[in-house]
Amino acid sequence: MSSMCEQVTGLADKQYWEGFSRDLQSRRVPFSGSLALTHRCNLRCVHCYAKEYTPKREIPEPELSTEQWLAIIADVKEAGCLYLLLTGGEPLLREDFPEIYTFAKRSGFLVTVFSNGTLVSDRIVKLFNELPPRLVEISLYGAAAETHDRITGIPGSFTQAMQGIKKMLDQGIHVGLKSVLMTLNRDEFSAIEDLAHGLGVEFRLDAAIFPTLAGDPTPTDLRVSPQQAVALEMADPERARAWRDFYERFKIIPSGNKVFACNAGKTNFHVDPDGRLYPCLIARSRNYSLVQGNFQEGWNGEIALIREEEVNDDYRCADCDKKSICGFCPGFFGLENGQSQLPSDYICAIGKLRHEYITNERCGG
Amino acid sequence: MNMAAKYKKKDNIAGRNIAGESFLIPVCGQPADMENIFVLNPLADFIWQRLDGQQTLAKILEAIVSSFAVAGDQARTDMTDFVGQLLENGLIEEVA
Repeated sequence: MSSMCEQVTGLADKQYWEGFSRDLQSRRVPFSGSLALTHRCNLRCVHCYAKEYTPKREIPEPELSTEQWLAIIADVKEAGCLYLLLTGGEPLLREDFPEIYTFAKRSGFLVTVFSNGTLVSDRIVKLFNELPPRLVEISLYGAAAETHDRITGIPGSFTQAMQGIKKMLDQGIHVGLKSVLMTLNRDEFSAIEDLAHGLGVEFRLDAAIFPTLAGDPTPTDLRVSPQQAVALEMADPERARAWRDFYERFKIIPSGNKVFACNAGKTNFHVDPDGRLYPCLIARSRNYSLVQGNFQEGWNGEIALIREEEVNDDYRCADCDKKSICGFCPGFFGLENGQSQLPSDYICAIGKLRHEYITNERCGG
Repeated sequence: MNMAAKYKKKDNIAGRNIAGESFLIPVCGQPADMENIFVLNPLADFIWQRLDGQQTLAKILEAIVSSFAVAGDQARTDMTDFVGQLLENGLIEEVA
């Protein structure tokens, strides 16, 4: 279109979005948010960070009603949110998912859905076909049914997920796959990646398992060693190159005196099924009930305070040059060690190994 | 372009104002089109807000001239270009 109206998506417009992002950060606009519509799930994944909420719970966790979610979506629209992630638990377990999704789409959000893929009915495919999501990201934990089902705890879940993925792909819906690397699937990790590439979809690897949101560290027993995690990451030349490029671009994170150097509570937010607003999914030290008040009150009040938290004199991460590549996350530290300024040794080891790999590769040309 | 014509937005696009920027966000269409976001300059946004199926292009032009420091001929060219582009992209439709 003409200069009155320009298309600003895509690589060619990187400059526009980078400038706009800086503006959003300086003005603290909640541009990107996730809504966990439910913590209920039909799977029982061994590593799940929300697993306390799903099995054998006598009193189910309170969940917002349809009307409450729609009101929150209207509020975050008003506040400037554009990227909206609908997640769970398994968001498709909510009967009113189509209503919430349709409202978000028609309100002008760029909507992504995280799902386990097992509940992709014809009705959902039709919905996504009519109102295409930006992305539906499915978690797949194995290339073989046996591995995936062992991790999810539900026989048949791999077959169901693959059927769901194929149904969506047949309709041209934008699907991506992601997986979590753990001791139970490390030997077939490249096969999962091959499976994704075979389907012609993007694949995302998550190497970091963290304790549950309620503080149970058991899932971390499933972590592979930092050496194995980084070796697997860097085995893919494209991913290794991406890490190198990323480090080149962001290697110097200004140390500053604030704990949260990321976008949590700055341009990002998260809402739990009970309506509690957090700075992000992982940072749980502050929250605000959207049942008691509205989004702007929470965002400008309790959530804003996280941005003011200052680092201690002995904070190990303050001047670390690996902070941009270790997976640095004060929220993660809080879950793992109970304190946002007490770094995770696991994350630290991964950062050192990535740095070693990147700098050695660069020296080697 | 017929200046007596009235146009309204189609439901395949949503207008958003975020941090002072005006965007057109695709709602439905081909999945690949979901990445086609447009940002409007203030004049385009002014016109977009008025494509409500009620106002004729002549009335919108009048409003432009009284609100922006732009000559009538230039305003008309800018407006018809923009409306033409919206039509071409299937984002608005004429109201009978």
